[in-house]
Amino acid sequence: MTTIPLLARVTRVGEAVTYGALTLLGVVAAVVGRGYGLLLPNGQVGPGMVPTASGVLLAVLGAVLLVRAIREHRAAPPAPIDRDSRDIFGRTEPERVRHLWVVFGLLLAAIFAVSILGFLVSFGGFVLVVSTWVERRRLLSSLAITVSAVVFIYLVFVVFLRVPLPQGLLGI
Amino acid sequence: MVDNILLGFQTALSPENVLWCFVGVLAGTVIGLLPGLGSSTGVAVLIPLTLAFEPVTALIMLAGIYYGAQYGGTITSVLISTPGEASSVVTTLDGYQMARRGRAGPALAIAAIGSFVAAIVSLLLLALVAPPLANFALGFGPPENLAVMVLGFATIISFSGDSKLKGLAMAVVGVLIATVGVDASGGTARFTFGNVNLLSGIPYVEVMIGLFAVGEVMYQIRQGAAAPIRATFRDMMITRADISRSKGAIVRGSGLGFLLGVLPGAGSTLASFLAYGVEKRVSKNKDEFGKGAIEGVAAPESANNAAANANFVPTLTLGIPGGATTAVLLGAFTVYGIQPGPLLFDQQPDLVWGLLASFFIGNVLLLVMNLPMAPVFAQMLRVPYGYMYPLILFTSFVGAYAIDNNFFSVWLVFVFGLVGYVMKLYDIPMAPLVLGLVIGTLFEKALVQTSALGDGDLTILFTRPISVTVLLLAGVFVFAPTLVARLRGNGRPGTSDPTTDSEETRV
Repeated sequence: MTTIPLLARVTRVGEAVTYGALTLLGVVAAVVGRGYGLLLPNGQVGPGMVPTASGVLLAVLGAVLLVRAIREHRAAPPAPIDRDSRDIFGRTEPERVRHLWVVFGLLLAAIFAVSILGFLVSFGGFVLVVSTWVERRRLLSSLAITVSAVVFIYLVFVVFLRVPLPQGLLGI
Repeated sequence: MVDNILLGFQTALSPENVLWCFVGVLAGTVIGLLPGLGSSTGVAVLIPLTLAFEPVTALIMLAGIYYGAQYGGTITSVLISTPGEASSVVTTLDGYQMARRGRAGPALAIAAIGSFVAAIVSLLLLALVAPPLANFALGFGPPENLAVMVLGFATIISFSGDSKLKGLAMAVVGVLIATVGVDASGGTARFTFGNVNLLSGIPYVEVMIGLFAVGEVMYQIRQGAAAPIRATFRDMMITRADISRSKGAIVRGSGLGFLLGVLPGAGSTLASFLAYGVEKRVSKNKDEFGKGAIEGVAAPESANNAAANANFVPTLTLGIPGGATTAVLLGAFTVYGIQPGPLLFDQQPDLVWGLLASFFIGNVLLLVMNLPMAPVFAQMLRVPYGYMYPLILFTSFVGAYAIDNNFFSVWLVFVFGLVGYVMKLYDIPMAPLVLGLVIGTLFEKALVQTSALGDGDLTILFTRPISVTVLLLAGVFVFAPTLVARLRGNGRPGTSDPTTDSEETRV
């Protein structure tokens, strides 16, 4: 029960955090950019001009968006998420958000695994795990799709385009 | 001129040339379908295959790959919101929305028709005005180019709807990202933090794949699995009404695309954004833009195709590449011992006109292949998303790796995928970021050169007729709608611009 309004609140706070991060990015870019030199000794535009100008502009725009987001947040507190809002598999929003982070985690794991398993095995495994475990698709059809995808990618990228995909320790 | 065109068709219509043009278009379409592999990569990768051919045959095949890859990128823009090129980014706005409503077939068909019409218009314009236009383009110095870049940014502001501030902020982020790497004018390493991979900057293709492909997939996972889109075959066919609605957009897009395509640089991308912006202003259905307006697909697709053709004006007549792909083709010219320049039209008319005629033939082949195939491609959306999205992620990451055979690209896609997800979550438009990134480098280059030209005095920008005209145009783009709305509302407070108050376009 408590997770639902919390999720809504986190989402709203996240928006403000995003604009805050943009503002910070702008400030940092402006400060670092200034160090590259705004103008050359002869008065011409230097390498720091565009980063600094962009940084200042971004900081201002980010701050305006941040203030606007905070005002909107105060004016209208986050509406509780409809608990009955389910997708075709009956997943609620908190469950879907969990799924999202699981997929992100698996993706990260697949990227790290490339150096050991190679690109094709690692990402082939990712497709299989996501479709069977996360999406609860049938194993046989998931396996067929995974193998087809790996063969297709191998033919197009490795054989036809001669892309040297990382092979990992297995040499595949 | 008629003799030249006839000579061109005579050369291009030989069975061998038509066959290789077809092979090029087909191979290009397949390459364009793969995220990360755009027309420039496709042409570069396949140049070795053409070395055994006659120069004209080889160039015709490469031109076929160019068009095929562009259309392949359009297919993925419409079906899975993954643009193959920066110039297809705008197509995702309405094309993807059309696909979500079961109208992917008409979106793909109008893209093919628009491209075809643009090819005819631009071929005629190329034949008529290539040399004078090349001279016109030569008159574009740094101040004029800088003014064109300002016009590009004005476009962003003009069509970001209610989210003008967000659009502008994202364009600035794009420019900021474009400054990463070694500064072209002075050689200063900026924002590289000692990372060798960042010295050459952050490439826009990886950013695009991350934002659009990975970001969209993640957002869809959060939104929840929807039922596969099951449109009837009839819904997948383009109707007379669709074509009638798109006529004006195609003509305007073609004209605008050709004009901007003549200018070396980001012509195609700018052209597609501008064509969309103009169409959103003039269309009777402006409220539908961003929600699946067919004109929103027709205009940018016509514009980027016309610009792609017009890119050949500076390439052939001046030896200055109009864009990334024509730069690769320029390399191919030298491989075949051809020296582009003002004398090329006189010295090798069969080659030049044969190539120009092949643009037309390539687009006819594209139309013949893809008009009936559009509903078939659209059937891809019937695949359950639970299978589709892991495959999209797989091809996106492998495509990103294949760009430079560098694993750093994979990490860039991952990071920008996260950024894209956050942007989708908070309705922050992505297209301005891509445009800012694409034209940011050109903007800075033009700024530095203008500053050098004026000895540090940038007011030189206001002393040249073309740059002043372009800047005025940019001003009109930004301020005219508000002024018109105020005039219509007799200046009453609270009366606002109907175009900017329409529902926000999520770019």
